[in-house]
Amino acid sequence: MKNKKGTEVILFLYALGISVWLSIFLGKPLNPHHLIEWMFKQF
Amino acid sequence: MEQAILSRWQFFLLTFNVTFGTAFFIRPGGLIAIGKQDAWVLPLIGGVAGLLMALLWLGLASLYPQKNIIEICRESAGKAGIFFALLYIWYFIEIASWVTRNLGDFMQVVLMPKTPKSVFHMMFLLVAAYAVIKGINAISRLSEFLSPIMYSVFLFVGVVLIRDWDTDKVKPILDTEIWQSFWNSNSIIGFPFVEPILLLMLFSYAPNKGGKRIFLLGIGLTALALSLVVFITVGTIGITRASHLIYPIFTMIQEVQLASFIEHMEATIIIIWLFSIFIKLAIALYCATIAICHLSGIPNRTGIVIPLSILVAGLALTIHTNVIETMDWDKNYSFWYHIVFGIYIPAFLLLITFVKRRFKKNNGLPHGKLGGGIRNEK
Repeated sequence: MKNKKGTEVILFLYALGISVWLSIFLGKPLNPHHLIEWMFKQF
Repeated sequence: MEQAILSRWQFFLLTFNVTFGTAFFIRPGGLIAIGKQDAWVLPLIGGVAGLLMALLWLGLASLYPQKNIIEICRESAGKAGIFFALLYIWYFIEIASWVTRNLGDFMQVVLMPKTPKSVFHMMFLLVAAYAVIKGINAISRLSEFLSPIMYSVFLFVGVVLIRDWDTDKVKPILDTEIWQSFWNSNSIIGFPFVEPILLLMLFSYAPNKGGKRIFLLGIGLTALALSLVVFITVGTIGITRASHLIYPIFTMIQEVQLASFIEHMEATIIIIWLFSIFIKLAIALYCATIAICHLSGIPNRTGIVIPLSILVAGLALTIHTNVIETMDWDKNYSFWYHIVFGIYIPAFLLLITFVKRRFKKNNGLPHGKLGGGIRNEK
């Protein structure tokens, strides 16, 4: 494998994208803003 | 990485399209609801704040000539810089998702209510991904080709709207609490005036001379143009209607009637809106892609842009559940969230650079000069 790190990054992006889509299909959409709002509320 | 040099005109259009591109359609309603007949002042104040932020970014960029924001993060903050670089990559992905969602919302609300948003998202992302694979030259040439058509049509529609203009609707001028209104609408600083930070990824392609001035000009003209759009909207359809509509510009142009046989000119504004969304989406997706390429050392954009488009298409659906949530985010968090990327991180990186240069004079950092754009002039 020429660029192992590169392959890992690409696979990670696929995994991330598929996770978001799975969350939509399973009816519990991953909303990153909920996490950001929670972080802001801690301050 | 890609070798390209943009002309001044191309770089200006990229800056203007990123800043003005989606804001002119989305922002006026909210601004008019808060600022009433003086809402046109709010983009001008936001523009001044945007220019000050841009000076901060340019100051940082000029200390690292020919480097993009990801490289600047890594060079200035070392290994901790990877964390900041990841934050910026996330921010670019988020901008791409927002832009995609804007498209989906508009298409579903106005044109095709029965078609799922994801269909519009995927169709646009497919073409945008192709543009990203073709490179920044293709995107900037597309912008160069479409922008004159877009803005000349926009100007023509603006001139036609003079027929419906009523000066009484913008009176009394400067009679409201401007600063209070500005604080209530502070999200305008985040969107659209922090978003040109995307172009920090493209500074290495910027023209040798005047790149800095062009960047500032793009942001300044956006403030003026946005102010003009708000002013025309208030004067044409009034405060009450404009502040209750999601897309007041669309409704305003829908009602235009010229010489009893030219009417329903909204098709023109839909085309302008779709073009501007596409250009902004392509730039945001390109910046996110090359940011990941720089951080991971992958030379090929194609391998990155395909999974990234899948991610953006998904995030565009989940990033806001409904309109109420969008408004709540915009009102309570948008300003504070955007200034993290627009002010806090660049200021921190600038501070680190100054401290490093002060205490390690021979650490090998390049010493670019502040004037003459992004690159050292020869």
